[in-house]
Amino acid sequence: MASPTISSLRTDEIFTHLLIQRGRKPVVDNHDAGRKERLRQYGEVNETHRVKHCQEIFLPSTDRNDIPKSILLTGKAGIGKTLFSQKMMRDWADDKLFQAQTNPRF
Amino acid sequence: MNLLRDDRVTLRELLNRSSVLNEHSNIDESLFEYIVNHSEEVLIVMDGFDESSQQDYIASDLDEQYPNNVQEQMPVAALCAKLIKGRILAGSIVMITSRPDESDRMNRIHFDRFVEITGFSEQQVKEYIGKYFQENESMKNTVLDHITRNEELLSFAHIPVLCFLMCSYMEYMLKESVSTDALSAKTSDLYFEVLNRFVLEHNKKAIPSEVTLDKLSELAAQLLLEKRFLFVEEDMKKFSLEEVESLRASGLLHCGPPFRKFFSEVTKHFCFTHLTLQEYLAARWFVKKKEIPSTHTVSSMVMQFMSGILSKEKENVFMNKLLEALPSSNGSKDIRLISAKCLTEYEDKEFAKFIIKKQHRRYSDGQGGLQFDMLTDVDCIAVSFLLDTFSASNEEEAGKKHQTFAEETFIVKSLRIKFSKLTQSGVRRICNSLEKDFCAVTELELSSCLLNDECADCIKGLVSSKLTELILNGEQITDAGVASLSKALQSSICQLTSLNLNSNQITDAGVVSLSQALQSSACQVTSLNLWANEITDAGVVSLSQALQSSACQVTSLNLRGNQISDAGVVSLSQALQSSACQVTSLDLSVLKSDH
Repeated sequence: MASPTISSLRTDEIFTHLLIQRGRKPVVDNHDAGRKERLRQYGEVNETHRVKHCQEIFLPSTDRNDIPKSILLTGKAGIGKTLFSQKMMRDWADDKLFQAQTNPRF
Repeated sequence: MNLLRDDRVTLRELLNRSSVLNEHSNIDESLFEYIVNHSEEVLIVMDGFDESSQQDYIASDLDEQYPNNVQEQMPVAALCAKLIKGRILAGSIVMITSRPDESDRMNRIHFDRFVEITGFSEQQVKEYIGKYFQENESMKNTVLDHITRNEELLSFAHIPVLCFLMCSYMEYMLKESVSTDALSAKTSDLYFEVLNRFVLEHNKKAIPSEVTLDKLSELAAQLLLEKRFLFVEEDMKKFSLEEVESLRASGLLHCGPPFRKFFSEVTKHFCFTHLTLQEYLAARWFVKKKEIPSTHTVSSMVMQFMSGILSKEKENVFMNKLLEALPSSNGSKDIRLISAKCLTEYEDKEFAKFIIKKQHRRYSDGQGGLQFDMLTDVDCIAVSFLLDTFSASNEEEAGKKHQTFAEETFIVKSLRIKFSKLTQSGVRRICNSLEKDFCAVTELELSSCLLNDECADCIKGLVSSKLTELILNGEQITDAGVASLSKALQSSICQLTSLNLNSNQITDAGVVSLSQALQSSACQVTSLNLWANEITDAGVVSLSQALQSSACQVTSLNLRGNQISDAGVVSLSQALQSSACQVTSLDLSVLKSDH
């Protein structure tokens, strides 16, 4: 399998984890919230919905035993979807995503 | 995928066009066979689904007209549809990325899982900045300080690309300027540059025109005046369909998940990608219309942005009106600081001089005092600008042949900053302004600002020359800081008479260096306050010695709240009895034992 070029080294160095959650983050207007509170909410995510490790995306959920075959990953412009999926692919290929999974291919 | 359009390809041909592969790797027959037979080991990522022109096709059932055969040739869109629906390579995992608005078009396709990337947390922003500047420690610290101490920028940075653009812009600014300590980036300039690049780079379809941006700015302003941050499609009726498309793709707007408005109507909320983005666009509109929004409705950030935008147009009259419109009480932040920030964004020094004279009551109290509470390092940029304006004004007066006495009330003589969170970068900025030739400030107070020895070191230049009074109350200064200040007290041009180091972490070693300074003939300190430190008898002994020196001019001494016992008191009494000692007022309350 071809490995991406030099840019992948840079990606590794600069890659910083992101906040990911299951389902969509609600867009609400908390009318009572002051400006400080509003500003802070951008960098926060509901703990119950939070995805703590990337591999959770591919693991079966508690109510279903089978793994998800189709996944929709959304996010605002510039939030890092492309970079994230590239990293997922590399981790999948390098077998870094899971401890127990067998060898991958693309 | 868009390049292939309606071409008919086989699955193997399509996979071979993946951007992950290069000319040296190819999926040949045997590898393809493996893939087909072991599809559960395959992860397929379709990135940027929203940019595909075939979305509607894929979401429909049109692919059903083609057989579910991996060797079959069919339009690209059909292949994709079959992959997503699991009709070919059934065991594989398919992940699709999309922007929120677009992803809702696919509600007819079943997805096993939905995941949203919400961006960086505040901690992750810091981490990213650390990694971006890993080669340059000094730049890293400057940028880290600047962004993390500015709640607007910290929040704005939750979008990684914006965080990157900010780092990139600040890196450029720091390289252009002389030192890596001072980042004089105006917030409005930062927004202007970062937004331009963001819109240009992220807009795959069409860049919103100036006209569209104006309409968007108008919408932003309208909503802000109504204190609304969410809107729906109906609010965009002034926009044409193409404009709406270009805006959705621009990254300026964000939308939430669809929800049921009525039984038969599903709708969704839109908002701007970030609150400050809405404020910036609104500011743009207000400036265009020469309208000043009520400051009770909009935040002071809007006024700052307006000032920044105005600076490119040099509209003194309007700027004057804006400053006058700022109310005398505006929430937690002082009117003086907001005005200073607006003046800083407007950048015009001549105009600033004119304003401080005209509205002098706002900029200093009747006795030539300037006080600020709850400052951060970033606020110091504005304070510094204000101080420089006063200095420039003084210089102008000095140059005039005739002096009018009324001008004297505008001279700022004392600066007090309390209950703030400052580091060396903020303190240094202020000291630089205070050190200017025509700066008339001789009394400086920095209380409860979390200052450490490094900060005390920045002040030593002022101590050795200009200041008559220095208060560093409730800080985190240790003996090292005191040593540095003591040295400054021995300078031949030192004019300091009152030194207050109340509630720090000074021990006997610090007192020893002070005592040394007090015995120098250059030192003019008459009032010394060391209340609530960690001084013991040993320190008092060295102090007592100093008090008996003929050079020592101390008349008032406060050693309250230290750890002094009888022995210490004894040495002090001895000193007091000496003829050279000039102490008339002594405060020693709260001792370990009675005396």
